[in-house]
Amino acid sequence: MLRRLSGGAAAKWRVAVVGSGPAGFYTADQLLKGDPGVHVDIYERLPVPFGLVRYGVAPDHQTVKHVTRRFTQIASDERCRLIGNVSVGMPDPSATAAHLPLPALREAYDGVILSYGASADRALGVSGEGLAGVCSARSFVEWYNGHPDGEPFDLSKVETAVVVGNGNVALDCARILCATPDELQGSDVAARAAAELARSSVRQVVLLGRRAPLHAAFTIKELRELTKRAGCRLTLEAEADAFSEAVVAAAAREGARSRLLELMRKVATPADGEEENRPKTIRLQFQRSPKAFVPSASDPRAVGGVTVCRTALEGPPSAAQRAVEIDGSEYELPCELAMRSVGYKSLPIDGAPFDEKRGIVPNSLGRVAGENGLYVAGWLKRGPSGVILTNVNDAAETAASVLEDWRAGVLGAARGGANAIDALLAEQGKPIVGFDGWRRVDEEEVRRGALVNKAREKVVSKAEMLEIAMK
Amino acid sequence: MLPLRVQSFSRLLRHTCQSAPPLRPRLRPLHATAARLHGDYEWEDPKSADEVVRLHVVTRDGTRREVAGKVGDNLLYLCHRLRKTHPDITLEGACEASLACSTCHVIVSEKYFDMLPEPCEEEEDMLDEATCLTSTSRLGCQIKLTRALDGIEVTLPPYSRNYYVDGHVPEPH
Repeated sequence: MLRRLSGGAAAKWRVAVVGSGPAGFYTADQLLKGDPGVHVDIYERLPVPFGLVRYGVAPDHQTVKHVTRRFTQIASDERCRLIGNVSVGMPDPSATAAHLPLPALREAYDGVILSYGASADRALGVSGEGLAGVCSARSFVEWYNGHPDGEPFDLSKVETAVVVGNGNVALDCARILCATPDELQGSDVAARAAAELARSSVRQVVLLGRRAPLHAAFTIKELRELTKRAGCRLTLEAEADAFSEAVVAAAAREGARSRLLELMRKVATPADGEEENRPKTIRLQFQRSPKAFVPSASDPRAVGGVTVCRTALEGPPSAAQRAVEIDGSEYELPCELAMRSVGYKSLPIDGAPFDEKRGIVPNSLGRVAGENGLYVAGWLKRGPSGVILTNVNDAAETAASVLEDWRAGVLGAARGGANAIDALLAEQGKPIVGFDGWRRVDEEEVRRGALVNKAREKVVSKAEMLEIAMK
Repeated sequence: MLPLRVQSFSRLLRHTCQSAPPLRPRLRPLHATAARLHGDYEWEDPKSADEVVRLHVVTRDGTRREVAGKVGDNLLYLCHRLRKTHPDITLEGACEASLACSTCHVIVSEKYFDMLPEPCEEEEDMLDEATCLTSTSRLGCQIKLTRALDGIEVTLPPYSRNYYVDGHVPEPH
């Protein structure tokens, strides 16, 4: 059951945070540090916390996941609670989680911070996107990360996989597709994915970028990692002028892009005698745009290839250059698996404004436009990009706005109080997972992981998570 | 003779904060600093006056704090300790000094920057992701205090308020 508000008498005001990913935890942290009288409840749709740190960060990037220890520290503050297995806004389609409409939350709390991230992904809008074997990178990431909503993948007949996109998620997918069992040791890759990857017949992964190396969205650490893989060769195919002096100068104007561009240039021009006979290849191809996914000759319901169009870049080299497709340059790239990795997308929530075009809740310094006591943080605030550091800065900004409004006396309209929410949740009879419940799941996962030389063996089904958490 | 490194020159080309010191190339021997993973050591008090290293921390709102650590302290974990007495010394260490994030980015005063061992490639890679990068930027988790660093000044970069990368102008509340 939910931990009662300890120090309830001391809590002068209460804030609800919707979503327990980095944006939610860092905002909670800044609030707790910023005012001794605040109490923060962090709501989470799943029975387990940490959002994309658990379900987005790749399983072989365990050091990035160290940040969960910070989040654990934050949750250990007696003025902070995790309220897991509660879906705010939309009812949970699987009916596992309890449901709270946003207006109910706003009644009960002095301030509500939306930090539920980006739970959908952008489509390409080309024909054939519905073929079997065409999927979003998100679904692949959820699969290898053991997300309860993950769809199964069959890699036994895939020789070539195409990833459309040029960000870190695209590189993650390529790296995991080519990972050897050794490279996944000590990770927390989902058991279902480890087994499938072990029998995978993938020989090459082709990444398609609409623009040039200058415009690649991935970061240098992730690219460098791919250059160091023993079982996998990395190649880069770009136009002849991709590393021209004008491009190098443009990269220099773009802050930290110079070193990334230089690394890409090195990858593009391998030294003589470079090891060529590695079993798998990751190919970064630039200035190519997918026109259509085409069915396979043997199975008209499954993907058999991608029609790729070459592109030209408009204007002198700069970050703002646009790619235009070159008529008549189309060719077909055969593949058995195709993923789009062109960005995540936030979904609107009932009771808050939403900017469809930018995919965010419109805001100023985290204050939701036209609303009192409603705030936004993380990807929902600024769009789906950025690293953990971006969240620290961004959370500081939103928390500062909340604290400023509290001190100015703008907040404090909460009428229902904690009891109103507790009653709403009790009515529904669903298990509610507090941080203690998560600790039990955590311990069990780490215990199971130790038996198979992994950082943890994730519990995948929500029912099993709840069973362990509610013991 | 060590080969010139691309990284050293590329630092010339980086964006800079307004207060950044002038840029110039830095050519020093390669040296990777081993990171402490725990931070317990930083909670030990110095055993003698000789061990004390004074430092100035410029906080994110520009306040200058005179504080002290000791020889061998990791700057990130020292800042965690200092936060108990100075709440505005806020330095995250999301990846716990494993060179997988840039949340402990600090800007070191030029004189002392030159005394630090050269950053390793992994540190340079993570610095590339930092906001408000300068030519004297380092990760706090890679700085170990020595006697020579007595008087060092480190600036915590301001929390960026520039999220409107597409030219959107925020409306006043």
